[in-house]
Amino acid sequence: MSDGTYVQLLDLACGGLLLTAVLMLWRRELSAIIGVFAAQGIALATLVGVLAAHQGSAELGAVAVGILSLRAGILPWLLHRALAGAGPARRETRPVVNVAASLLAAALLTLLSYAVSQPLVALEPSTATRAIPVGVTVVLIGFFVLATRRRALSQLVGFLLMDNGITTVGFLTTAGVGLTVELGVSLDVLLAVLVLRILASRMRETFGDTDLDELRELHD
Amino acid sequence: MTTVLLLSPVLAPVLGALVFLLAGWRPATAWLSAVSAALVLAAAIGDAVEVAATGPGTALAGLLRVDALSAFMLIVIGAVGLLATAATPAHLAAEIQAGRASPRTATRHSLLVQAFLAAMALAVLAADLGVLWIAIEATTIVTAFLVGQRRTRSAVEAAWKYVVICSTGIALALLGTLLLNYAARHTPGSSGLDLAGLVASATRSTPG
Repeated sequence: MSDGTYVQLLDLACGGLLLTAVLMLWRRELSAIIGVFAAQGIALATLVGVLAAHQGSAELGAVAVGILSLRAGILPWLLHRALAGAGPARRETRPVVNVAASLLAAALLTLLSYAVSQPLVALEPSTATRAIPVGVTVVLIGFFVLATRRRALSQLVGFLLMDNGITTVGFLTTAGVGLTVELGVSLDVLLAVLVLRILASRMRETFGDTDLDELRELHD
Repeated sequence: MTTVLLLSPVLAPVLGALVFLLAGWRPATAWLSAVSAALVLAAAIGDAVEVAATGPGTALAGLLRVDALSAFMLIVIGAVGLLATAATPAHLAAEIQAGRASPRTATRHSLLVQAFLAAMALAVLAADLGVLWIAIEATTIVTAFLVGQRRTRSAVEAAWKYVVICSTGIALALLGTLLLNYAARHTPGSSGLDLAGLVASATRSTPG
């Protein structure tokens, strides 16, 4: 692949990551949020695939296929199943911060991450490392979703968004050693999601719904 | 000798967990948890004596490492674990009698406690930040099930909050680990995420 196409494809994949992260703040239908999450998984797999093609590494290519099946296949499927069991409550009602303010916050978080990532880019300036701020932005937006949403499922999506961002940063910085890192991280994510899903279904059994405002028995 | 002292705090609870997995919780195995916690404590004291006499030691080709801090933390884990597991047989018997637990949930409780002990011991003994991260993640997952063991409202609520807060924290720690790895690779003469290597090359890394 020529250098020009490599740069363009890498930027396209990073743009996809950033766009899907912002879309997740904008949409309030939970099923649409899961769809956007699957699209982000595809963008992440494309990013790794482009890196693999550029380095001519078959190992990294296999990792890209693994990411595609886990983050665009298995995880969205698990979330859909959780949603199907959740009954009629399919919308993120009353988030703590409204949509317009969330979008403004996303813009501020993007600026912030470009500011704090400068030393990381300066360490080894290249096309891949110049995209690190995008990964950091996705992490920050995920943290924002986690902190401001009230549905158990949207919090789960926020956590996964953070994780997508961290994986992005991981691949942009440690290009080459990916397989073991990604395998460990993916297994952990899958395990954490399974734990959270079990808890969410238990929560439905005991609380009737998964609105986290119901969780008021334990506080100072 | 160091290898035995370093491996036993991790292996004793793993073996305990295997026994609980195969034999289940019964009068014969009721005190097994306490025995394995006592082994952890004994090995921790042995490690502390060894560190005081000859300085930090390593095992398994440098995968495990004990220094003064990790020996101290290991003693704390062993002591607290011993106290908790020594109280467990009476507690579980009373719970079963009151109908709030069954031999099945008692088995699961004992199994999870053993796995928790092993993961904690591995976390303080790991010589590599990557292994350390995996061990701490393992403690989070195991304790999530321990916290939510009784399926009452407050138990499920506590477990949900615990898992969300801990897995967010551990995810941020992973980001930090990845960035540290990136910075360490650009430091002359450094060896990745090895703790001793990171300390040794700290003065040569670029500031800011």
